[in-house]
Amino acid sequence: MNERRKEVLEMLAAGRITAEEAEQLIAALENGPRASSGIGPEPEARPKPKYLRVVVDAEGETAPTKANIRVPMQLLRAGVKLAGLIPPQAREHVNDALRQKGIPFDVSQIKPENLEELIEQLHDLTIDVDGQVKVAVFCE
Amino acid sequence: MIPLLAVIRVAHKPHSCFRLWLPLFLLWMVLLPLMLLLAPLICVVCLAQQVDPFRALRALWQMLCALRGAKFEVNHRNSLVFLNIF
Repeated sequence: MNERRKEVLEMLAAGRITAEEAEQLIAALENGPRASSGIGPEPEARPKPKYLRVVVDAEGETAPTKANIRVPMQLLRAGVKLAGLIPPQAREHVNDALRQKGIPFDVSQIKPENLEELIEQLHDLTIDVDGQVKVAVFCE
Repeated sequence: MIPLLAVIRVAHKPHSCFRLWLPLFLLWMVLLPLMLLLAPLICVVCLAQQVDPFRALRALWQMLCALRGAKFEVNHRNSLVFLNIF
């Protein structure tokens, strides 16, 4: 039996907590370390990624091409802020150009809060395109 | 903090290799008076385009500061282009 679960049951047996409280504590334990049960160590805060890395390894017909790019996350954030300043006429041109390329996307929808969400998800992102070109995108 | 140094390297092995340590802080010192002179013009252009000039300048400044740590390296055949900003 899990030590913590045993501890909760002992507390219940000793009458230090009610059955309802015990149930809540066990449920919190089952939910894993993210649950804020007050028991056990707090989950470690993930360090914010500082860089976006793009590594491209392409096997060309004559010679391989390799690219290794490291972009600071701050640059992405600043870029999004700058994108918010695009004049409406220019924005329309950009949207039209994207649409022509088959990307139906409105650049005015890019907002700093969306970027933060995206960056959060980039922690575990790795893209590998097998074949002649291998691309890896990840954060560090 | 704005970037202070850039390292640029262009190589075409085995013939040539060009490496340049660019002290950007010297470049900023030269550009600063120029930017001050151009500031009114930038403001006018921003206002004509219905863009808040202060927001635009702040965003540009943030982009400039965020360039620190950027690194680009491309290898093709025997050629190499490398840029690292400190």
